[in-house]
Amino acid sequence: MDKDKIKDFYLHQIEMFGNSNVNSLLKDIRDSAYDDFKSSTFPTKKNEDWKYTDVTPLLLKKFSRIDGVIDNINLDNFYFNNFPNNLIVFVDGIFSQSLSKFENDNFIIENLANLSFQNQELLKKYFSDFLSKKNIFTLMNAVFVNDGLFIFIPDNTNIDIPLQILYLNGKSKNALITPKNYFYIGKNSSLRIIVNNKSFNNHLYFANDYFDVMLDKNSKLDFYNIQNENAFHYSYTKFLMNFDSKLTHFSISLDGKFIRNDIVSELNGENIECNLNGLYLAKSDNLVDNHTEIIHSKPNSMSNEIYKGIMTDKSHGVFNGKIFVSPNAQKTNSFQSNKNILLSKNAKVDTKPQLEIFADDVKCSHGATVGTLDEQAKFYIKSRGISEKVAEKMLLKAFACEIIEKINIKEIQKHLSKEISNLVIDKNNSEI
Amino acid sequence: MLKINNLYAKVEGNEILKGINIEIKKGEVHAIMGPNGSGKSTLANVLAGHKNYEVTKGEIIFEGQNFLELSIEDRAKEGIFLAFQYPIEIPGISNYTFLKTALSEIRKKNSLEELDSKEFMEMLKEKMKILNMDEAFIQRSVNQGFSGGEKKRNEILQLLMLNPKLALLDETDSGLDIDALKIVSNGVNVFRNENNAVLAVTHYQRLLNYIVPDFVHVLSKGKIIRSGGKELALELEEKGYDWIKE
Ligand SMILES: Nc1ncnc2c1ncn2[C@@H]1O[C@H](COP(=O)(O)OP(=O)(O)O)[C@@H](O)[C@H]1O
Ligand SMILES: [Mg+2]
Repeated sequence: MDKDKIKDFYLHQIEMFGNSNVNSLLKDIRDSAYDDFKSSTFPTKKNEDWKYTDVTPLLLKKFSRIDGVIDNINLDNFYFNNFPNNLIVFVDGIFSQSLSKFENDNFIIENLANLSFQNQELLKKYFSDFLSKKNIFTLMNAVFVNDGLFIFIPDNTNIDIPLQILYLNGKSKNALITPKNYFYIGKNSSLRIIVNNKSFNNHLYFANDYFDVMLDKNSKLDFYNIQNENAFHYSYTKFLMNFDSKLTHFSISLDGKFIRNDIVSELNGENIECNLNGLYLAKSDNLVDNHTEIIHSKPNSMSNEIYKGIMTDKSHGVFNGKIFVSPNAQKTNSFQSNKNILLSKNAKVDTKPQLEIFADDVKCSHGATVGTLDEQAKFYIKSRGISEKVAEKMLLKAFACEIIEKINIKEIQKHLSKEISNLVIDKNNSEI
Repeated sequence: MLKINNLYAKVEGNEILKGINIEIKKGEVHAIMGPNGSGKSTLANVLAGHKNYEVTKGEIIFEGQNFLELSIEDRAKEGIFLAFQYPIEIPGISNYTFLKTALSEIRKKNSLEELDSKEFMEMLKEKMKILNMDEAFIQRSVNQGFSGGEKKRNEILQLLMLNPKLALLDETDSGLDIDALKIVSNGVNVFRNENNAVLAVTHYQRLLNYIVPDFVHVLSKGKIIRSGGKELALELEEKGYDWIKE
């Protein structure tokens, strides 16, 4: 495959499937992006936003859109099932009614392909410009969109049971998976969402997803986005936060051949608390690239960002954290930290803070580190009779615990501890 | 139990230990005293197997075995324990998990079955009582946010739980007020019996009021320049190290 021809390959697919059989919402979204998609090109390392990440491997493969629902699947090993949760299942990006199990008496949850006319209108009212950020990947997501999820939490509604959205990907070979999700959290309302991206098997695929999330006044959202796959994944998430709202986001990349996450959080009000947490693990020759952007556009808000990465083998980590404080966003409080552990000589990480501060009365701090496991700490642990491998597991857990301790769902905590433990190859399979 | 013969060790190219000879028998308490920088911690670290220290000459024989060939963890399993001068904080790993993991490794080596949680907890609580430690420390992360004194107590808790043959104490008295010193020393004395031994490394004499040594060695510039009984410690306290150097 010639990588310069890949755009034509995708354009040709769009022409082939056309817009028949889809509702007017999907058609409108596709149409809104088509021209821009057609005229844009895939980035190279010369592009500042892609300076550290080479997309060539992605362009050398051909992925194709999927039709039809697949629902004859045993889900047991794929989702978190040890705590009560509402479960929404997408297989290769297409909603499966029969695999999903949820109750929603007091809020709206519906997949885009089957969205009622009334809810299409509701969606358009809150998310009038279907995509808030246009780059070739978000445009591609839009022109190929064939499903996704709409959640609408009305005002004054607290949803106690976490909502798990399982994106089970790769049932079909070489799938292009392009869901688009719109979540609205009403005034004084709260929700916990777990987006769980899992590979069905070892089929290669390209998941290109999009989340547009609005937190209205005084709302509260915990959002866990967990990627545990062996494929290509581009993910775009946009948060628009209103006065007094609070977001706690976790971007957790446990496995993936090529991962690029773009997260943008716009603090469009006062007294907002925006917490962005990240934990990324990379092995073999995998790449995980996290780009975040926090925009303080009003005074008196707070953002708190902690990203931690562990890279082993020949893997490559990237962190780029942009903080923008507009001239009138006085009394902004913004903290950013990125810490990395390299477990092998061949692993590498690029980390870059990007602070653009145009207000003078602000408190902003940032820091980045790249290191290895502390030898003195290892000596201490081993001097108690504990093996080298278990000592390493303990120290990795110690490194990640700052993130893990913030997670208020026990099963997810356990799952992460186990994944971290598994980074150390240990023939005794010791769990700690 | 332990024989150190003509031991030379380097750290980052500098020779720090220059021909150390010590023999420790079961039931004995030895003290190594010496000014700052004389090599006390180096000796303790070399015995525990720290990789930064390169042994260039001499031997360490523990229970008849050549110790120099053993890894850090194997030395611990053979029965050596180092109470650190500066204990390490391990966030996210509870004292419970840490001690249970360590104890099961050591028991495995001695062909003993792993204790179940209940037996382990009983043992742990009993030892914590000796050290006047609150049970809240069981679930706290290892040394994280502990005061200096709490860290030292936690070291002795590990000593009591792991029950080695030889305890190396590196400045265990430093940073302790008199009450804490008594508690910690009492912990060490509870540990002692006719089958084990203690090597206490200390700058000051005061620890030796509570953990009474059978032998005192004075270390200076990597060499033992004087050995004697417990009265040597008192003499040093009175006259200072310069007295010996002259
Ligand atoms: N890891 C190390 N790297 C470099 N020099 C060291 C290291 N450890 C000890 N030293 C040096 O070795 C000498 C002895 O140190 P140490 O054994 O800590 O003395 P003491 O415990 O008696 O105060 C000192 O000069 C110290 O600077
Ligand atoms: Mg010392």
